[in-house]
Amino acid sequence: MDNDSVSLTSSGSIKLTWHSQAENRDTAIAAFELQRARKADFSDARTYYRGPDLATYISGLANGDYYFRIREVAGAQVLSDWSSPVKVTVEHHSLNLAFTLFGIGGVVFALTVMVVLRGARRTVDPDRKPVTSSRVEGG
Amino acid sequence: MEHQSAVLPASYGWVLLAILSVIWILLGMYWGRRAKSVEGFMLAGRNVGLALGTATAMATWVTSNTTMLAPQFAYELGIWGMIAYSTAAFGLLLFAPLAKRIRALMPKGFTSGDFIRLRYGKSTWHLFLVISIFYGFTWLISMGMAGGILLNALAGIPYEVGMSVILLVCVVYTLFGGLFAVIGTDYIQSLIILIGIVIVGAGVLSYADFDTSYTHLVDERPMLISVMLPAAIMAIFNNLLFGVGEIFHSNVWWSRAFAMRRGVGKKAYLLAGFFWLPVPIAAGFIALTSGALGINVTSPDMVGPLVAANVLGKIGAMVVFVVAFASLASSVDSLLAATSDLITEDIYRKLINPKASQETLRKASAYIIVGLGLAAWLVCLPRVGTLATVLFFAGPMVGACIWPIATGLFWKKANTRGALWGMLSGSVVGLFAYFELGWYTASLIGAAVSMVVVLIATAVSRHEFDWRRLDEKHPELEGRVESR
Repeated sequence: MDNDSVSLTSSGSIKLTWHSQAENRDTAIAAFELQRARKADFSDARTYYRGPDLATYISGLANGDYYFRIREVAGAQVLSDWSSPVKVTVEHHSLNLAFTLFGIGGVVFALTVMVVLRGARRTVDPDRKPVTSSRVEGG
Repeated sequence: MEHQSAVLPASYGWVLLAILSVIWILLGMYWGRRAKSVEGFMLAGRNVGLALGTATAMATWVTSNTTMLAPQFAYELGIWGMIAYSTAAFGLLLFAPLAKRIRALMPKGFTSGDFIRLRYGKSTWHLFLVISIFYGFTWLISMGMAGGILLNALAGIPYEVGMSVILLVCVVYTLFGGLFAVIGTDYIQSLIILIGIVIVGAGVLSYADFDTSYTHLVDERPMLISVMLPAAIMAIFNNLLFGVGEIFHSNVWWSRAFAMRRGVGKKAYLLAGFFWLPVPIAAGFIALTSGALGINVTSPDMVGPLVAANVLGKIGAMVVFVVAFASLASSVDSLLAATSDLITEDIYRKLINPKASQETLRKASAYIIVGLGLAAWLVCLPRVGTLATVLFFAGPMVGACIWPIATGLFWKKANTRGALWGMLSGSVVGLFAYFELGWYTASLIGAAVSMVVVLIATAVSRHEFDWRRLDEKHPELEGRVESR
């Protein structure tokens, strides 16, 4: 696999990429088998993807460690050994930070709405009265 | 390049690409035949009505952002991500009163740059031009990339070819027809987008097994259905403020405000906002079914089109192809037109050649459109990142423009110091957040810092702005020129 052997993500998403080890592999029959496990020895491994693509984008992972490895296959035939495992550690941002930013965003948005709506209400409607530039009010 | 399995035979893709390219070029040239004067070319004669005004606002806002980025939000940030994306509609809704105010204050205005120059002076104007042109160019690149990625994933058309064709087609018809062509094609494109999304949405709803999808999410991607996903919680107001900042500052939206007939702008933007609101939820929802359907996603920005095309087969893939091409074209043409207007009016005419004739300006505008297309093409060639990371890089800068613009339109005491330092400090601190916390925080922090600076500067200011200074006349640009 092309990823670093240890990766850290704070969003719960990661892209895994890989490439074929053999130069002259018949791409029409070759495929890749990607396994995912929560244990480093892959005793609880499950097949995550099987097909010809050279990458996968994984999202929505909860906090914790995840292990991935890949090998080449052709039907039931195994064409390569398992790759070295890649360990992905998910450590989401703290909820305190998230809610703080959420609160700041809420305040900025509310004040922006207030500026626009109050401003629009306090200015002359040019569609009802013909407006000369000197009569456009505000502030 | 990571290989992504195509869902449509390449021959179908090539035929669709050829047909759509010819249609848009011919329609653009047909509508653009009325662009005789510079004002006609840049602002469609300032006479756009409610139907065309609503359609162009909605179609321009339905971009690769909606067909590709909204599903990406759902795929990466789950339920909250889907809702977060739909909040971008507030940009259109809040711009409605601004459009009316802009039309009243600047009946002869041309660009958002005109407003900043007249309201805040040269220093702020220069900074604004850097931000606005950078943003426009970033958006253009993300569209070009989206086109290449999409055509590649749907029909196996090489990324470089798909990206080049979309940029070329839009450059050609914008070149000939200016905003007339952009608004005319937007009208047809908005109809195609709405009909296409209804077809795809209905197809996915009838096909998807909700129980299986839910179980898959619980087992494999539990955070996508959690209301406590921190990145998603941060993204809600970040995306909302990014959308507001994009629309408040960008000449794409100001040029439409100038182009619409008096009394039309506010209604058109309100209607467009309400029409747009449900679109990203429909587009985003289908991304959550991807895992249960066994679809491998190599790039998160492709999840929406991939699910739709896989579920609905060849017909579905063709519908997605047409909708995506329409939504990309409707944004690329708008960006080319609005950014070239900004460069022509604010840089070429104001800074380089103030005595330029109408014909010279038309020529300059044409060269700028071609130059922009070429520059975007060169940057798009190496695929530099996902759509979100490319587009959101401009997030802190556009977020930092919200308060200088909103207060500049309504508060007499809003002043240069607040606007300049608000834009600058918001951009810098927001960019720091982009790298330190993630792209989903940058616009929010940029907007918040800028707001505080503007509020302080306004509070300590005694100066009051005279609104009449915004009503700048351009008699030399209002005549007619028979250059085509």
